Amino acid sequence: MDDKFILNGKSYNSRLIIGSGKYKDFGETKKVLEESGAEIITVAISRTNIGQEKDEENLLDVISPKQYEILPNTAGCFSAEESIRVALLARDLLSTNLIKLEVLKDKSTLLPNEKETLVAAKKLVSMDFSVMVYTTDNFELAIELQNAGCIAIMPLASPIGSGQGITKPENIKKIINNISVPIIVDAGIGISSDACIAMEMGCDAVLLNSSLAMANKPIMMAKAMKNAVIAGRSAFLAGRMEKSNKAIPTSKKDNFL
Amino acid sequence: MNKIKIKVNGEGISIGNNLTLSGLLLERELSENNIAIEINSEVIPKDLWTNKIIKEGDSIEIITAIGGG
Repeated sequence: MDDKFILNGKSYNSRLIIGSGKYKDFGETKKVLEESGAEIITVAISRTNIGQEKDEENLLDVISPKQYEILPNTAGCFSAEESIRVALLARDLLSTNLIKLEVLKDKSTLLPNEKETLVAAKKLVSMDFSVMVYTTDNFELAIELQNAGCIAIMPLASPIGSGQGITKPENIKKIINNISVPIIVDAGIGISSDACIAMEMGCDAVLLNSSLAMANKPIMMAKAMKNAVIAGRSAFLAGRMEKSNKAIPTSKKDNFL
Repeated sequence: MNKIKIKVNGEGISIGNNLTLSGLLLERELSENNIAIEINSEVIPKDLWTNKIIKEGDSIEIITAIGGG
């Protein structure tokens, strides 16, 4: 069955999006990406080290924009204004209109700043960006962000880097039921079953980073995540059986003979 | 030679008068690949770097992509 993930007019085989942060070195980053089967990779935008070696390897040499869809984020921004500035730099650097908008409330919780996120989303859409927006699990805000023209809604499963999994599945379900653009669970995935559950619920894709980078064996976990996302998607499409409060025999026979 | 004071990634430095952005990169031994530049919060497209003269007090940010989720 043909089941492509369509995002921003492009079609992808993988529904797993991988973050490129926190791996032990670029070699591990590369292997994790290969093992995960991911086609879309997030990167952050930061000042260069102006004292660096001229020939020092750069992340973009490892994850080539020719091989992967590079999705820049606005991580580390706490206002709409900052995030717009970063988005403009990212567009120039990577020649892409795609941006994962991330405007945070504070450094301790790393939760989205809902008001500033909406302001930035509207502005970026008006500047021809294709905005994928990191947001809370508030479905009313998700609707506003969709109406503002965002191409994907990315609710958190739980706080960034916490690995707690989907703490409020009913809220994610509410977003799924009310939103027509792709829904990508972003942040808080801890292990493969979390990713699988997100996909079984009907999310269109999953974005994760720390659950790989912080695993004992990141490359092996990348494989687990790949399989979990495929399994969850298949299960969603197959449709689960009705739950019953009593046992129902599997065999049609009433008696032993 | 006249020197002017500017900021690069928040660090105050002195450079020669009439230096271009490309000249600055050369002087600092920075590769032109995989970076974007803004002067005073305005992005300067790469094709303008060779002609863009840096002025006294300019605040330059040179950015690249790093690991992130």
